[in-house]
Amino acid sequence: MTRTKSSCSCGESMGRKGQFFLLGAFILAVLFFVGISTRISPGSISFPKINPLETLFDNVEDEYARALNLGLNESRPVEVLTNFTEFVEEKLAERGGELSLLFILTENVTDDVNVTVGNYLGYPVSIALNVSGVTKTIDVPDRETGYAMFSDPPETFTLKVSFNTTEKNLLLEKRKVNLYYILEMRKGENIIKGDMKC
Amino acid sequence: MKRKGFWRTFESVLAVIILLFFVITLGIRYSFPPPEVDLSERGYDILRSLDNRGELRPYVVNNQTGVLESKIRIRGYNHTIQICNWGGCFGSRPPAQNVWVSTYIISGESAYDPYEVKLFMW
Repeated sequence: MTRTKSSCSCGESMGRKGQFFLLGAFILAVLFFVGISTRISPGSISFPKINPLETLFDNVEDEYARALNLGLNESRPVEVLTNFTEFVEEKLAERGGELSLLFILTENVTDDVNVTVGNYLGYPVSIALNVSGVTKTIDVPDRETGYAMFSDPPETFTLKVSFNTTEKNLLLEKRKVNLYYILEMRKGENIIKGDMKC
Repeated sequence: MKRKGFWRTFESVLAVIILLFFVITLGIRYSFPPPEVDLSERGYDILRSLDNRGELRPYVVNNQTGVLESKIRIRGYNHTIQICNWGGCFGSRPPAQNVWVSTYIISGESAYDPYEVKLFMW
């Protein structure tokens, strides 16, 4: 009897194999569902926080070199650079942002080098320019330009720029037009600053 | 034997129903609505790539907003272009709320003539 009962129980288990598979499939499906929920729930999807100032900064940084070339083609590089700065300043102001810029442009006049400083820092600046050992200091009011002429520097010369707490050494070619600028854009607590030589 | 076949068929049907239930549940829950995406950088990249291909400045300096609009395709979104200079803006603003705006500044093409290109997406 016992033997018969035992074999009967085993047979019932074998007969319910399909139900066990079904139960197993159900459990696997629930586990899959729970697992995938934690992976792809909307709260876990993160998008990069995009800073609108960054794109504008990249755009303007590239565009200054082009503005300089257009200005040189029209023989008025300083005028074009100041006008372009004011254009960018206005567009940034429309978005509630502010711009600070200081540019230094060097051009050769026969064997001499003319260094022009454009000040859009928001305050007057006294800037010391040292070309291969010769130092000249010029005072540039806000939103204006100033210049200094250096006679016959070497073909490759060092321009040392000093104002406030900023110092920069630039190795430049005499026969080439060089532009160096320090650009800062601000909007609220968001500040992007960089300098570029072209 | 007949009973065994019935249960197997029943199990198969049940398995298909369970499978469909989960697939449909996942589909409804995670496919709609589409996630909010910040399009402003994407718009900037579009304008920048047009500029790199030489397909931006000639149309901007000639105020050809329609040509520029036809060169842009943004899947799932409408768009319009506005071109602004010192004097004002050309082109229309979108008649919609929740609009993404990307801007691109140019200093000119063959002569100095600064413009700002605004790409509206909604």
